[in-house]
Formats: sequence, structure tokens, C-alpha cells
Amino acid sequence: MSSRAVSKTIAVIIAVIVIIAIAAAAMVMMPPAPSPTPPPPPTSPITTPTSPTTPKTTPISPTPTEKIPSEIRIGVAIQLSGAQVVEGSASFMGIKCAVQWINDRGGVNFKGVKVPLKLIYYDCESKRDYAVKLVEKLITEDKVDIVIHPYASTVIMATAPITEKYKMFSVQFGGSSDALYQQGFKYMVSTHGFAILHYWSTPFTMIKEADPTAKKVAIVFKDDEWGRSLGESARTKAKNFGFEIVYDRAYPPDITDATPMLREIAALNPDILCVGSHYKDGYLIATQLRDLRINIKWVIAQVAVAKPEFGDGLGKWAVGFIGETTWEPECKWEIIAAREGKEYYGPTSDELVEYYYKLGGKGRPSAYTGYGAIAVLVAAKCIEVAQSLDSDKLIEAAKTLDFYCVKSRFKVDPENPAKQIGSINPVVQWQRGEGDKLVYAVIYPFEFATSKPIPMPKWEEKEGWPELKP
Amino acid sequence: MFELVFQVLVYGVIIGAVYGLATMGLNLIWGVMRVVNFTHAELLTLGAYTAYWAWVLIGLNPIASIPLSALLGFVIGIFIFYIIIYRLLFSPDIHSTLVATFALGVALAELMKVLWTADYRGVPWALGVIKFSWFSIPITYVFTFISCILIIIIVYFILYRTYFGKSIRAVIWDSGAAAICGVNVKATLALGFALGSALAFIGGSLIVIYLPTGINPYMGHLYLLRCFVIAVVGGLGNPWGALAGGLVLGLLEQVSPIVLGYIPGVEPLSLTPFLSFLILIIVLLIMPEGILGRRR
Repeated sequence: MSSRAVSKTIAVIIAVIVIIAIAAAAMVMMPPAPSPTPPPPPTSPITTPTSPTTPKTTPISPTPTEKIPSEIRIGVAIQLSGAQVVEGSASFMGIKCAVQWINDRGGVNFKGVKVPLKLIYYDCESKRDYAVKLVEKLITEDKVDIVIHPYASTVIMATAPITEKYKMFSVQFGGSSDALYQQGFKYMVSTHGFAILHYWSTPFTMIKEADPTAKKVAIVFKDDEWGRSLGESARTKAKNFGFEIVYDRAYPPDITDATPMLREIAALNPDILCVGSHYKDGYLIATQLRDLRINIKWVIAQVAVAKPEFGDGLGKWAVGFIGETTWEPECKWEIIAAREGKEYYGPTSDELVEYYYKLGGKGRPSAYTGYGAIAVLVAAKCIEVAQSLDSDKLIEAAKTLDFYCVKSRFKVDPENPAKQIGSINPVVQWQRGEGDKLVYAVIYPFEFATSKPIPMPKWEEKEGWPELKP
Repeated sequence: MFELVFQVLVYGVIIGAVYGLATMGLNLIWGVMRVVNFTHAELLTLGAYTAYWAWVLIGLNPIASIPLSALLGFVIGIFIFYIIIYRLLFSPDIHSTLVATFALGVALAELMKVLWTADYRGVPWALGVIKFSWFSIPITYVFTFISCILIIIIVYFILYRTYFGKSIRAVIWDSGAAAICGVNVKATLALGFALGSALAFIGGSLIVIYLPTGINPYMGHLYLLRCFVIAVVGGLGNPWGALAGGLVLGLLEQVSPIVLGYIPGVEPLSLTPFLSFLILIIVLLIMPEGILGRRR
């Protein structure tokens, strides 16, 4: 190619780049278009209006010009496949159950009229970049009124800036990384407890009571935002509870072999092993503890243990593992709400379980069902209090709320609504029940605990057991 | 300390043998036809899925599913060779096979996702452990190692005691001279690719034993990087180099977390991949042909 032709080509390329840059800058600086009455969405909603009931509300004066919509559109981009399919699907089931529960009672009380909720959702395939695109699509194309973020802190950290950009009121139910409330998000509320604020407190409390001789703690955590928050939380809480930290390491998110790490831990002979994990890595560590026959009295593995799949996969080997959860069918927060004189809003755990099976749920509903349910309940409660779909009014309403529901207490920091401060994590443990059954027991709070905590039986003892079935 | 060193060595050798076997196919294909097979990751994954479905549908454990994996891998390898590879092998653009195998890999991964979803699956096969006073090793790991040794012996037998193996070695050495000597180069290339594919499938089936829930359409990429490191360190084009490289990497992955753990402020497990590639660069600088590669 001649030098003249090369120069021309370069000039054309530069011109194209400049034009694209100008167009992009113009789009960013332009204010978002006001949302008109939306057309029907592409996905099937869940709406079954039946006879209404009147929940407790404290309405704020409605905006006179704000029309009563025919439906309130809740947009969700959620992990229905991929690495986080287990958590995402279970959470989505909770979302559907709560939507159905509200719609069966006529809908949300909006200016004296019951307005049903309409769910618009997409599968983000556990891909962060795709989730970001879907959230933007929900806001700009589907014109939803409220967004519920996907599961997992790493994904929410990517989708929250999108909802903030559009000043869209949003609810995050599945992110526990403390980084989420440190970003200055103004329009996002959190329903989930945070790693540094909430996690490890209840298991440590319980171990302190059950085994005062337990002194040495080993901490391992996944090297991502969630895992690092859990690691920091475990470190802080262990010191606060007077434990000695003998091991404190991160492992790669895509870990396939934890044996070098576990062998090092075994040599230190800790009393407690804290595993800050998601499901896949937590399960890997549990199986490799078994394979290496490493006996540790108390093993707390976040996320992994609090899933039915953990017991289904490991069977008798799962006995003794402790996890923190956020909701179980045994949780009866209405008892604690009544005792504290606070409002209880939404379905009880028994009702949520009923809806779970009615909507096709199989097996025991996992904690994520509660995760998803509270997101919808909080959104609905905010609308009822604000009597508006305006994001500024919704966020102000959220700051005033302090109530119990299926997933413990909802209360946010009025200065920072992305910071959930009321949440309480129940603690669970897999145990050997009567008749050689594998039992998933709630061991804290004691008000509705189904069993007492037990130290992890030795692997050699479990070897002699028959196979336990749930 | 002795117990820890012993455990590390044993686990390192076992996992190294699996890595080596998983890489032998990549090395063989490079050796025979100078093609970097980016589909290797997906062939490993398909081998893992073969083991999974054999477990779920007919109750075969991963070791017992090796013959099935080998057969499937061989057939798919023949198919890929004749449909894609052979048509591009003599293309004037030397990168066309690279791009084609990369594209095929992506297509296979997405096809797996469509067929089986991106859900994580596993084979919960456990047979207990062999326990010594200071050390225990899962029985499944022992079976895996024995299987690796047997397969390596079979591959050795094929390469050094059969006409087909002789023709593969001849083509690796000099395809032009092999043709002059009457070797059917095209058939040799096809069978070489198919054998490489079969080895990848077998490697995938064995990797399943270490991954309780890790089978998914994209799992192969975790191992593809390892395979490239192993192939280069061991000697590109030399199947035994893959074994040597695999043992090096297997031991490195077990030893480095312990050694790196002594450095303050360092996360040893997270640094192990960095160390692997650092070793790769050093080997390339000192011995560009690898440990068992052909000296020029």
C-alpha cells in the first residue's frame, strides 16, 4: 500500500473514532428520557389477583400528579444458569413466591387501590457483563419501576452503578460484601447482612457456649470481594471473641485443589476452621477434608453448607459441618417480632414454603428462597409507605422502615441505605438424626432452634456409619 | 516435616501424572502436524462429561468409563481432522489451523452449554482412604494413578511396538522423508489427531475424580493453560515430554504453596499460577526445546 493510501486510511480511522467519542459523550451527558406507560413485556408475568387483605402501612402523602399504574413492574436479571445457578434459581423462586403472595392479596396498596406486581426477568447466565447489559435493558427498554439485582456481590458491584446512573430504586438481596455499602450508592437498599457486620458472630457465639476450650482458629477464604470480606470479618470477630488465629489465607476463586492448604492447616491442629466460600469451593474443601481425613472439631463453611445439595452430595460425611444461613423453613421470626413489639410483614415461613411447592419447587427450599422473597417484600413495603414509584420517595421510605419478615429484620442505616444493619443470621448444622437420617438442623436462634450444636464427628467414626439419607 | 514432604510428593506425582496424560494428546498433535490444538480444552471437557453421563446413566465410575471416553475421543478426533484440520493443514496462512481450532473450541463449549446447561456437575465417587499413621490417600486417587501408568504403557506400546506408532514417530521426525519411505502421511496424521483427542478425553475423565462439582462447559480452560505450560516445559512434540512436564507442574502446585507461605504478605495458592508461568518463561530462555524436546 502506498504511503498516501496509508495516510488516508489512518485519517479515516481517526475521524471515525472521534465521531464515536463525540456521540458517546453526548449520550452520557443527555438526561434520561421520562418513562411513559410501558408496553407489555416479552416474558410471562405471575399475576393472580384474588381477594385483598389490608397490611399495616404508614402512607406518605401521594404526589397528586402520579397516576395509579395498572401494574408495578419489577425487573430482575438473575443467575438461572452458570456458576451461580444454584443460588440464583433458588433466589428467583423466592422472588416468585413473594410476588405471588402479594398478588394473591390483590397487590400492593397504592393510593387506596391494590396494584398487582409484574415480574420481568432475564437469565444473566452467571456472567457479570451480561448482567450489566440486562439490567440496563430492564430499565431502558422494559421500563421497570424497581430493579432487583442479581445474586452475588461481584455481580452487584457491576449492576448497581447502572441503576444508580438511571436513579432507579433498587434492592439487592444477595450481596454480602461490605464494599457494597462503601460505594455511596444512593438508590439501592440492601436486605442482606454483610460479611464484616454480621457474619461469623452467631457461630462464634454458639461455639463459645458449646465448647469453651476451643481456642485456635484457621481462616481460609475465596480471593474475591465476597471471600475477602468474609476473611476480614472472620479475622475481626475471632479476635473479638478471644480466639487465636493460627492460619489466615486466601485461595484462588477457581481453585481445583485445596489439599496443599488443608495439609498445612492440619499440621497446626486448629479447633475451628472458618471457610469463606461460595458453593463450589466450599464443597471442594469439604470433600478434600474428608479425603485427607483431617479432623477439626468445628468447621464453619459459608454458603456451601446451607444448601440441600451439600447433604445430598456428601451424605453421612456432611455431618458436623456448620453454616450460617439467612432463612430456613424452621425460622419463625414472627415470634421474635411479637416479642420485640415490631411489625411483621409478609408471609410466614410456613406460608412461603406453601407457595414454594405451589410454584413447582422441589425438595427442601433453600435459604436463597428467603433471600429472594425479602427483596420483593421490601420493595412492596417501600411502595406502600411512599405511596409513589418515584425513586427518591422510595428510598426515603426505605430509610424509615424497621420490621421483621421471613428473612429476619429489615433495617437500613438512614445515612446509607445500602447498609443493612438489622439482619440476623441463623446457624445450621448437618446432623445424624434418629433412624440413620441426615438432618439439617437449625441450631441458632435458640427461640426456634431444632437441635443443639455438636462437634464434628471424626472421619474414622463416620466411616463406620451406614449411608444416611435426608 | 517428613510427613508433609512425603504427602506433597505423593499427591504431586499423582496429579502430575493426570496432567501429563491430559497434555500428551496436545503434544502428540503438535508433534505430528505442527498444529496448536486450541480445541484441547473442550476435548478435556467432553471427556469429563463422558465420565459424568456414564456415571449418571449407567453407573460407571470414571475409571471404568475410560474405554468409552477413549473410543468417543478417537471417533470425534477423526471427525474433526477430516472436516476441519486436514483442509487447513496445507493452507498458505500458517495461522488458519490455530484460528479454526479456537473457533471450534468456542463452538463446542457453547454447544455443551446448550445441551447440558452451564450448571456445575460432579461425580461423587468415593471409596474411602488408605490410611498410614501420618498420611492418608483416597483410594480413588490410587486407582487414578494406576490407570495413568497403564495408559502410558499402552501409548508406549502403540508408539514403539506398532507400525502405526513407527509411522507417527517418522512423521514427527520428518514428514517428507516419511512419505518418501512409503508412510501414508494423511492416514498417519488422522490417526495421530484421533489418538491425541482420545488422550484428551481420557484426561478429562480422570480429572473428574479431583473435581467434586466442577464439571461445566468451560472447565477445560482451567486446564488448557496448564497443558500449554506442561507441553512447553516438557518439550513440544514429545509425548513423554508431556509426562515429564506434568510431573514438574504437579509437584510445583503441591510444593509452591508451602514454600510461598513463608513469604510474608503473600497468598501462596493464588501465586501458584504465576509461578507456573514464570517457570515456563525461564525454561524457554534456558532450554527453548523443553526438558525432553528435540535439541537443534
